Amino acid sequence: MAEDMTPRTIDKRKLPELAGLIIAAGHRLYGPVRNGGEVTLTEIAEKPPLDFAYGNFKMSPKNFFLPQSEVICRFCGGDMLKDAVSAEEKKVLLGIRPCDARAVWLMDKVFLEEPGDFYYKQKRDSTILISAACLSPETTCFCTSVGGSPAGTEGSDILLFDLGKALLLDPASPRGEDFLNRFSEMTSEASKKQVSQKEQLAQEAASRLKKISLDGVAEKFARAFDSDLWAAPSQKCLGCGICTYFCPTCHCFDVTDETVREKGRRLRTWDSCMYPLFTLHASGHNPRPSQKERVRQRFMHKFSYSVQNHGELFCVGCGRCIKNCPVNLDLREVITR
Amino acid sequence: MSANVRTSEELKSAARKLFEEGKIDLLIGYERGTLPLRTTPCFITSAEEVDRLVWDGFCSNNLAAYLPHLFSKEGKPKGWQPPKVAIVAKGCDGRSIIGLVKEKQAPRENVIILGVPCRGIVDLKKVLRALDHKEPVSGEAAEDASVIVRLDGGKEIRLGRDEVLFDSCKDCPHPEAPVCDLHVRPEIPEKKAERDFTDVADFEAKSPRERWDYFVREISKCIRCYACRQACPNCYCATCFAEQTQPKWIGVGTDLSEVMIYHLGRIFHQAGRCVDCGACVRACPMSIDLRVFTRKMVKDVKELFGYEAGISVEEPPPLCTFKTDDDQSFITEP
Amino acid sequence: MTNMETAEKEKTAEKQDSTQVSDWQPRIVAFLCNWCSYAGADLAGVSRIQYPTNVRVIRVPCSGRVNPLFILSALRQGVDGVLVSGCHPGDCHYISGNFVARRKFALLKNWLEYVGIEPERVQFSWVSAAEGGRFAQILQKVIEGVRRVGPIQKLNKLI
Repeated sequence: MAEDMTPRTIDKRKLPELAGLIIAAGHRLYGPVRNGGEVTLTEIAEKPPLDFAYGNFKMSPKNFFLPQSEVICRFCGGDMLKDAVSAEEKKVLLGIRPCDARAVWLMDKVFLEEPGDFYYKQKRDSTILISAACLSPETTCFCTSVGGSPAGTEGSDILLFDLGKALLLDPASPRGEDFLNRFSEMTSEASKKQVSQKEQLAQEAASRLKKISLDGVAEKFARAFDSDLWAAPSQKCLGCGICTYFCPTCHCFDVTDETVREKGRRLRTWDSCMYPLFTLHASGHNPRPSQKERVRQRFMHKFSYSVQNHGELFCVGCGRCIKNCPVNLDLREVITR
Repeated sequence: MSANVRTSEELKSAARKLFEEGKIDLLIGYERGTLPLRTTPCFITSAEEVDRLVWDGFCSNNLAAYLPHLFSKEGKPKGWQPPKVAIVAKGCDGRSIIGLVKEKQAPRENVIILGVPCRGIVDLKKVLRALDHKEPVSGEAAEDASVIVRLDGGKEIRLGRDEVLFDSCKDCPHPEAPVCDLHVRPEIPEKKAERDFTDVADFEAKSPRERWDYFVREISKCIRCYACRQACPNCYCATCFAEQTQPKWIGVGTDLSEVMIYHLGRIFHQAGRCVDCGACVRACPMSIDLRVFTRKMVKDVKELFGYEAGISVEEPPPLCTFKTDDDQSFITEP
Repeated sequence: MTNMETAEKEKTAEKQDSTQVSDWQPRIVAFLCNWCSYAGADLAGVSRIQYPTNVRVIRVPCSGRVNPLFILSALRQGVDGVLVSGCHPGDCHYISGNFVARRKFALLKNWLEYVGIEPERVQFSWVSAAEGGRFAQILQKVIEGVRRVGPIQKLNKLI
């Protein structure tokens, strides 16, 4: 964040009012909603109380930029329908964690690089990301080991800190600063005391995270391509795809056409490299014939090829793959081995 | 606790013996996981690794799911011989194995079933609910599946069997695999009465509208990850109907009609084969209540054809045989 | 998330459909086994027995050939009702095809009704090659049943 962007604060009790103003300004507001033990990013149509004391959302905000199922064009008879893809509505995502925001920043490198993906860009341009700094990381989190931090700003437009009675709103991008300026009557300038409180909280949170050594992992993995070590973790992998679906940076997709009589549409849907069909050629040959190649592929893509292609590790340390894996295949264990 | 430890020790010595006598190439069992209250499948190839094995109420995965792939001839080099595999089996897993043997997915002579006495598996989702969703730091399961968990800060909480037992285990009549090669502990827990399907009967008693609404609500949660299919030992088709393109039965998106047909089709394909092990429910990351649907299939097969999956290798599968007086009350007459 | 949005969309489509009920005619697909039911239907035609025309016939060698996915696929494509008809048990041209099918269909009928699909939409019958009149009666019954429950709103795919 640039030196000239000043943090603002708002009394926590006034947050529902600010939320109301955001909605009134034409944005669809999505925020944390508790449902049993889970917190999901759900549309807040009215002004429910908002708290930021959760671990992380069940699913990543990936769906907002790369939807699980997206119509990319429609056709009827032999003609493509021109106005089939509607303009995106303006959205505000409130309360996503810095790891997930970093994931969006990483996905930008894939989807916004020239020539750019039209559908992703449309959504990205019309969405404001207000991340909530992570003050109580979960035991499965390891963002500091992969270049992130509980108070990281990559991908966010505004970074929010829960200071107890007040919320500190730190603009993290020019778009974020603009957004804050639009609602400046609701906020006041943050005091020095609040700013130092925020620094302290961020440090505390970071210190709670166990670090895994990932120095030189990209080269190590590249050298270990033919290693026998890949066999053991892949034996128990079921190939279910949960890790890829919950991962905030996994972005493989499939494009299929669906028709009902003369009408049809082209669909882009999530796909997973963990499925055998993913690399099955029409000839019947499969370059990744067994789970060993597929598990290896996932790790190589996340920790090695991504560094070669985009200069960054694509794992953000959110831990969802570890939490949700039905056979407890732990990414951290595989990396350290 | 001590009963579990005893079983673990007997399991380890049985495993060691099998390796030392050269009877097996591979043993599939459970070892301690990286997260509290979790175990994870482990694949052991020598007597030295045997100490990794554990057995307790957290051993939830159905290990039979790994067998079809191990014995599949596809992609294997010429002259490949199927391995000799020992597999730790609870009652339900053991029935899955018999089901796979019946369907020729695993040669019976290559599988050594190590029957462990199972009093039930702990449902981790129920544990979390009972703890008000605070993450436990550690915990143990007693043989009756009651648990002791420790939270951050040292607080210890005991949860009774009734609070945390996985639903499939509540009325399970098979504490040990009905067909097994080695009883890991000779004292087998008493076999319970027949399975009771009151949950299915209660659902049947609801109105069609209520049933449809429930079906819609549960299936709407589905993200088409296919974890249910992958975790199920019976789902070993090289290409699942849901992903077939010639013909294309359903698309790949999340349209409700397609997701419903996926579940309707998959569960129907389990007719006469499902052993109600619950692997699908446990694998589902969205906590879809699949059992109210899978159990309908198990109940109908039992009531219409008097068949329970995985009890005997010789009994023919219900959909491959018939009786001349099978029920036909469903036929439309003018 | 996306599923719930689709569920909402489909509910709106439901409401739209109901306003057009007066123009609607049931569309039935009938899988008829070649040796008995198809011949029976043919006999009905040759005997000039009148029955409603709301049916499209798909000839299969045996009722046992009918894959439950055919029925689900038909419903997905927007057909309002499905009839599967084969030889009387004991008379199957392939000896036991319909016996095995009988078990399959018993389970399928229960299964679909269990999740809330109207039982009138998927029906099964036995019609022999000599029963032209019976075929017409059964078809009449099926069509009236589907007319009663209205156009299909569950399982059909909307693009």
